[in-house]
Amino acid sequence: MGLFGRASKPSAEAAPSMLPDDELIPALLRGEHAAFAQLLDAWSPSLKRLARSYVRSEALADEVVQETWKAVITGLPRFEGRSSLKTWVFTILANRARTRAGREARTVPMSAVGSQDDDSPIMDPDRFASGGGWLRPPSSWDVDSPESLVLAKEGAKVIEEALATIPTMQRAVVILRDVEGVSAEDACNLLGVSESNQRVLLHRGRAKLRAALSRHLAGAD
Amino acid sequence: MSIAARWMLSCRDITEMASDYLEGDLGLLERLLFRIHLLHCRACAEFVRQIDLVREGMGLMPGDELELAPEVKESLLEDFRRAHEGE
Repeated sequence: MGLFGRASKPSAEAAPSMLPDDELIPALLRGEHAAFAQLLDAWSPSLKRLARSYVRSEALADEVVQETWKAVITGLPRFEGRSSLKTWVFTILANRARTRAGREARTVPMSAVGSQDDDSPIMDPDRFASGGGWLRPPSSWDVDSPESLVLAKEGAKVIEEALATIPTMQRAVVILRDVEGVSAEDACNLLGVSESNQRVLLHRGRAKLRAALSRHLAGAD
Repeated sequence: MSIAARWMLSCRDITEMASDYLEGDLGLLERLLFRIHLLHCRACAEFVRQIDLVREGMGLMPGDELELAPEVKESLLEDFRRAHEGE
């Protein structure tokens, strides 16, 4: 894998057959059923993942996803294309989920909503000597590709479970950037965070998933 | 402290900077120092490789268990159809 340095990541691997926006939007406006069905299949899982980062119950997350799609159907003729279609849809979801979470927060005594990220270091400081060199380096993984990470040894299940436990905003950024391949700029706008904050959230989220996977794959981080 | 030591990144630095490196957000000098560190440090190379695997793996996550319930999908497709008949 060399030095793994790539400027940008090839996105949308999960949905290779998705049409580009300039074909998809006209198809939707013409009322093409298949195009809308494809959209529902491709984006609903991550819409639900994102909804779950704001609201607590599965049922409520499902409701927010359904409401989002209804809003997409009615709003589509007015979609101006100032962002990608995907960003627009995910923005609708984030706004609705936030509203719902706000309402929920009034009835639920302690809410995780809006919980910001910790400032703690990426790795436990005890793992480094005073000069910053490893005392306890990370366990190595017997995994040679992203495919084998996700497909083998219940990797996807571990990731999904770990994703459910990381702080709200870290989760939202990881879902948008890494799962859905949304650009950094779009993710910032959608979530209302600064560029530098977005970078921090992304790295913290990834690091927590890495630690969870390490415990699963190597028995220890 | 030698000049070289002052410019070196520590392993702790590498763990903090890994995503910025992978996203291409580091400046030229930092990027070079980062690469030099990885060439000499297997533990950090493994750490960065793992973060990269997570980053790439997330895009391959199956969504089967998070799909819409069939009846919900049907009703949304029906809404979509109706929205276009109504025009």
